[in-house]
Amino acid sequence: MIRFKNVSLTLGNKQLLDHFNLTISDGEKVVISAPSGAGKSSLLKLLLGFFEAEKGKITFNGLEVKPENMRQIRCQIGYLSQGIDFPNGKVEDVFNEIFQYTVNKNISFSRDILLEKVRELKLSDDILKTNTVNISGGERQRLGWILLMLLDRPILLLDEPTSALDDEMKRYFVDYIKQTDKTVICSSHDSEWQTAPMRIIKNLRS
Amino acid sequence: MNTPNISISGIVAGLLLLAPVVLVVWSLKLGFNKKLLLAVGRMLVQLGFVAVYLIYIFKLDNPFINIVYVFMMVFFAALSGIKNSSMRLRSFLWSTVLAMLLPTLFTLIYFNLFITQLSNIFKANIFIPIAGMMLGNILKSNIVALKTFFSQVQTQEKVYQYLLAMGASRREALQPFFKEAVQTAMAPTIATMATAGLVSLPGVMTGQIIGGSDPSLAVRYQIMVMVIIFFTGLASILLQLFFAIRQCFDKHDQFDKSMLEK
Repeated sequence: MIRFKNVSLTLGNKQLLDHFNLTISDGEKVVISAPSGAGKSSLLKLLLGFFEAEKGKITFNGLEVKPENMRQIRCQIGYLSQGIDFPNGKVEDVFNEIFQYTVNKNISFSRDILLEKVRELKLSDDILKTNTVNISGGERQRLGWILLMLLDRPILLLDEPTSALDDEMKRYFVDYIKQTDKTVICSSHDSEWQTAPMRIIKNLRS
Repeated sequence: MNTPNISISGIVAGLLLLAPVVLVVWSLKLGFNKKLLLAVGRMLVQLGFVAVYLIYIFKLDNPFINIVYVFMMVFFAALSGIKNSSMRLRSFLWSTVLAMLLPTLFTLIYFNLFITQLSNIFKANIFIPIAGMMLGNILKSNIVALKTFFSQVQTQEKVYQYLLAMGASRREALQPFFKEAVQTAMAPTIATMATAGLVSLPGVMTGQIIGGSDPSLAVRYQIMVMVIIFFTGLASILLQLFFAIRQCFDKHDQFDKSMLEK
């Protein structure tokens, strides 16, 4: 369960959240479609502990979001950032590196597993040898999803996760989210996300 | 030793070469005459001093004085590197001094103990020039490493955060930038080593040959010097980045930009 209790957040001189309250139970799918600049991305980054709210409390399965708990919280989260910010390098190497992190070591990962996913999402095999700076937005987003699926974390934070995909792919991922038992917070304007069983939040200010 | 003497008139003749340089810089409006003359002036004064006090230091040959002298060289190397950097690195003066001093001292002692196998490992006429040699190289590479690292961390903050979200520890998430910084900083040293003797005769060797040494001994010194420059350079860069990482990240694992604003 994720709970925001009276959370206020100001970035620069803009107040994004003002005594914000939200409770998300396990397995629930929340879609935030507030207007651009309303603080959707910041809300997700708050959960990742990249900065602190000036007021209020956020708890994550009973664990308070604060620096000393961050590592433990982050490794329960699967995150898709808006730009899917892969480091420079061949796709294959980038994936290998991430699966060598201490917290990811025991996740089963191999080139074959990766290749299977790549084909499933209609990417060409060559992409594994391509440098991350040379892939298109749509490819990048699909690779981000692959990483998300392979890391298999219980809570997903998705920031505009289908913005660069065609309608068919959009539906594919929305369907994946619908059938999963993971807890999901997704920020998106795409209409595909505005369906049951998603819980839609249109405004972060109330 | 039978080094040909350079007399005062010889020095004057040499400095005369700067006259056409100044003229060209002036007439082509290259705009660095003031800087150039200042640099020449500083060089003359500094090296003049070096000549005078090295005579005494070599005469005294006191281990304590030699170590203090090396410490001062390190301090001034760090200071000048930081002052001349286009990035504000003032917060890193002492960590830079430490990152340069520790590997330099270690390598000097190792060099004198196992390579030249001197009975007096602090012997001034080896200890000091070799230290100077290493510091000249480390100075550049350490500042390059710091600058590359910080510019990567700043321009690629999103990559760093993405990797943290993928479960990376701070160190794991910084790995791509760390690698880039070390590679960029070490590249010139590797290139110099790879082309030694082909493109140019390196400094130590040239000096020794002019000084009348046997070329084979001069080459042996040169090889050893290249190896210790590489060793010390890498050790120093690693320490430098290690200190910087400890100094610059807050409890949220975020880069503290204020470190570059002092």
